[in-house]
This record gives sequence, C-alpha cells and structure tokens, in this order.
Amino acid sequence: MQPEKSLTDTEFIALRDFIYKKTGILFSERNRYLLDARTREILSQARDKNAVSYIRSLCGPGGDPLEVNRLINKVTITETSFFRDPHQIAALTKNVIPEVAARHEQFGSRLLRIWSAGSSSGEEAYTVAILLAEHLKGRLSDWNITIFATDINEDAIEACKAGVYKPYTLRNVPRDLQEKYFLATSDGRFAVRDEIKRLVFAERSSLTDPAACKKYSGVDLILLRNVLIYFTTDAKTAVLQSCYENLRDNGYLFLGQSETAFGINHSFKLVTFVNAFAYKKPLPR
Amino acid sequence: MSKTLRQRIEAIRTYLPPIPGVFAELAQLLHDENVDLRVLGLVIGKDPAMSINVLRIANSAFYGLPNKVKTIEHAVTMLGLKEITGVCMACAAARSFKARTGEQHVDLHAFWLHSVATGVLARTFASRFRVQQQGQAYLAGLLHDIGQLILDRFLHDLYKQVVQLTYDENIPVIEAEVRVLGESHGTVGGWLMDKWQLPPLFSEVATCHHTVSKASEENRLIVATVSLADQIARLRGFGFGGDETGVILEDTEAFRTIQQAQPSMGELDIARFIMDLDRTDFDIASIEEMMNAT
Repeated sequence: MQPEKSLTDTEFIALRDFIYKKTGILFSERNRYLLDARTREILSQARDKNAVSYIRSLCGPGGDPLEVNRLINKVTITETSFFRDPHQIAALTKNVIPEVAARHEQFGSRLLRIWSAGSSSGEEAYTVAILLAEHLKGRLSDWNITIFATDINEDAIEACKAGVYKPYTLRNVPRDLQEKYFLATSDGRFAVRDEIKRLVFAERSSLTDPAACKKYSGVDLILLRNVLIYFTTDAKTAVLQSCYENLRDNGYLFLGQSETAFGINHSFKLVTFVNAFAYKKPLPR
Repeated sequence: MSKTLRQRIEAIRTYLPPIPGVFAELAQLLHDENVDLRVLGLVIGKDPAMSINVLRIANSAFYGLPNKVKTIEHAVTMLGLKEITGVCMACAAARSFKARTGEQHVDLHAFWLHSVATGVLARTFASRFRVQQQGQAYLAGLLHDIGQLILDRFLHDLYKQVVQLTYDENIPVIEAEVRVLGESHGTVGGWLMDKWQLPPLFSEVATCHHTVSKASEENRLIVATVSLADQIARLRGFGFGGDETGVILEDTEAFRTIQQAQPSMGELDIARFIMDLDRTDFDIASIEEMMNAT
C-alpha cells in the first residue's frame, strides 16, 4: 500500500489561510497534522488532488458554497466523549455545581444558564446536564435550565440536536448513569433521554464573532475546552473577554486540562481543584 | 476545653508509632552492625513519626546540646546505632496504639503520602523561592501535620468524628477540627513539638501552616513555603480526608507572603507551574514504590 500523501508546505499554507479567513480558526504548525488528517478524504476526491488548486476553485467565481461548508465541517470536527477528564468532572460534581446551585437557591432564582462553547457533537453539554440532574435529584423540573451548545461545525450541531451516540463515546459514563439517562436504540447506539435532551439548546455559532457570543450571556458556567489552541493570540484574547463578559459574578470557566488563560486574560481568578483548574469571575471590587 | 486538651497532649510520653513500611525497612537495616548511618537517616527521613521520635531524643535535656538538632542526618550521627536501635524497639511497643479494626480513622497511608509529598514540594519551593532555611524545608513539610497523627493515635474517639465530618460535608479538616475539638491539628502538633523541645522552626511551621500571618517574621517565609506545599500536595492528589475544595492560591496568605519576598511570583503562571511539577510527582512516587516493596 502506498503511504498516505502529506500536505506540502504550499498546500498547508493555502488551506490554513483559507480556513482562517472563513472561520478565525488558525491551524498552527503544531496542529498541522490535524489539518493534514482532516482534509485527506476531501482532497483525495478533488479533481487534481492538490490543495492549492482546490482552494483556488473554491475562491473562484464558480466556487460552490456547499463545498466550502463541507470543507469547514471536515476540518473543524473534533473527537469528544461523555465524562471526559475525570478530574474536571469531579471538580464540577463536588464543588462548582453545588456552589452555583446553592447560590441560586439562596437568592430564590432557579434560572440556570450554562454555555458549552465549541461543544462539538454535544457530549460535554449532555454530561453537564446529567451532572445537574444528579445534583438536583428529583427537583430538576423545579428549575429553568438552559445549556447552550455552540459550535462552528454544522455536522456537529446536527449530531448534538439528534442526541444519539455510538457506544464508544459513552465508555466513561458510569453504568448506573448510562441506564438512567440513555435509551438503547435498535441500531446499537444510545439516545439521550428527553429529560436531559430538553435542557440543551444547540446552534451553530462562531466564537470569533463577539456579537453572536453576546447571546450566551448571564451564564454561571462556561466550558471552553481544547478550543483556544485553534485561535491566534488576538482571537484568544477576544474569546476569553467574551467569556468574561458573559459570565455572572462568581461564575466559572473551564478550559482544557492542559490549557491556561495566563498572559491572555488577567481579570479571572485561577481556582485550583484536585488535578483540575477553573477560572472564576470575581465580584467587582 | 483547650487547656485540658493541651494537658492531655503534653502528657504524651510514648514514641509516635512509625509507618509499618518504614519500620520494616529500619528493622532490616539495624540487623547489620556496619549499616551506613546516612542510609539509616534517609530511611528515618521518610517517616514523620520516626523523624520526630529521633529529633525528640537528640534535642532532649539528656544530651544538653547548646544548639538544636535540626536535621535527621545530624540526629542520627549524634545518637549512633545503639540509641537508634533503642528507639526502634520502643516504637515496636508503641505500635499497639493503632486504631481498632473497622473504625473510621485517619488513612495512615494517605497521611504518610501527604506528609512526604509536602516535604518534597516544600524542598522544591524553598530552593525556587530562595528561602533561607532551605535545608529544613523537607523535614518541616514532613512534620507539618504530625498533630493529626497525634490526635488520631491518642484521642482517637474524638478524632474519628472530625474525619467523618470532612467526608460528610466536604469541608477542610481544620474547620471540622475546630468544630469538634476547638483546636486545630496545627496547634496540637506545635504543643507536642514544644514540649519535646524540637527546634522552634518545626513547631512554628506545624502551628501556623494554616495561619501564616501569625508566624514570626524570622520563620514566616518557610512557614508560607510549607503551607503552599501542603495545599499543592492536596491539589495534586496527595491529600487525605474528604477535602476536595478548590483554592484561589494567589489569594492565600502563603502565596502573598512568598510574593512579598519574591515579587517575581506575580508573573508566575500558577496553572502551568502546578502542571509542571511532574518531576516532584516522580520523586514522591519513587519513595512510595520503595515503601510498597517492603
């Protein structure tokens, strides 16, 4: 078998610049391998299998917007799973969710908003919904909960709306929770039960569009995990600023487990949990 | 209540029971008349209980030294093989103080691991923050929670209520102690260290590791360093008890004290700093491995 063809430098730059212009997402040299892997199929179907001429065809007068969408959907797809990163899950379960819920109870407001930003196909948003349901036990229906799941990738948002998953993405879900919150489908997959599904509101949205981000304001918790790596420093600054503005006082932002907001945003307070970090919006002085 | 508690603590005459793994290793080493005292010191230095036992004798009136003995190496060299063997034999008797089976008590292995982790991290931080008493940082970290061992061993019925409370309510252990006992393990550890005439640095670290601003100016930086090491040990998974609360480290007394002495701390990416402590995790894990092998 022939080894898979990798992108040449010229091809990589052409693709990188086009995607950056369309989405604000930047595939740096560090993430070149991702762009390479994610465009392989599309390029193998392209007329002369060359990224430079493929991009040229998309930009030209006969460029097909559907093909542009297809490319964007291919390159922005990310793998995720339920109950990813046990330490962050523990911090949410033992600290953040009880604290946020208690604060609302204290002020007699049961309106809770959460934002899963760069949600991919929704596993993270539904995980938080399950954690909330577990914390609130039988009182879930007393609360008005909205978990926004946004992503730039249309395919991912459609998958989130469908809420049906392959068994592999459920591998970290404890057995009792799997039985409680999922229904097995006839084709061997698992559908999120309605009581959880109705908490999540999924839509396509770009994080680099500050006006669009304003829609997800007044939230108590933002999950922005493993998303910043795709942005330039300026875009990172803007995205974190949007998160800061969208959070309520004392709200929490979670980044990916190896990411930090240091040097990008100094308004947050870093909270260290057991093997996990979160950024808290402090009360105004 | 606190006076009675203090009297009960100060009345403790027996040695503190060593961790079984360390005890077994020591017993094996002491069979050899030609054992290297440095090796003996290294093994003793892995266990808070044996370390405090040895420091207690070295600093007792019997030896009447003009200066305090501040390191295990010094204590072991001074006492010699015969005396150390004597302490170990006395400790063998003290081991009977362990809790009855089936009771809720301090998880000894987790206590020990937390003590070692705090010692290792304190040593790393002391060198990084250029703390004057760098040489004592490991031992000060190793001994900082000795009050918990004392309470669990000698006032077990009361202390099991404290342990239960931390699990039930996910609250810091110190909060549970004050509610049940009226005092913290830090204060209790300090009482016994003072009674046993240990160098003041150790008792001050034990007493003030949760209240850094109360430490003397002379020892405040080492107290802050151990306090930060204590918190980061827990937050890196070397904790014990049910406390899993989060901490804004930059707002702690410990961090601020260190920052005052080292203004460059303000530029520290704390998350990255903690993530990058893998090397110390490795040191801690290798000590644990040695323990499990015995």
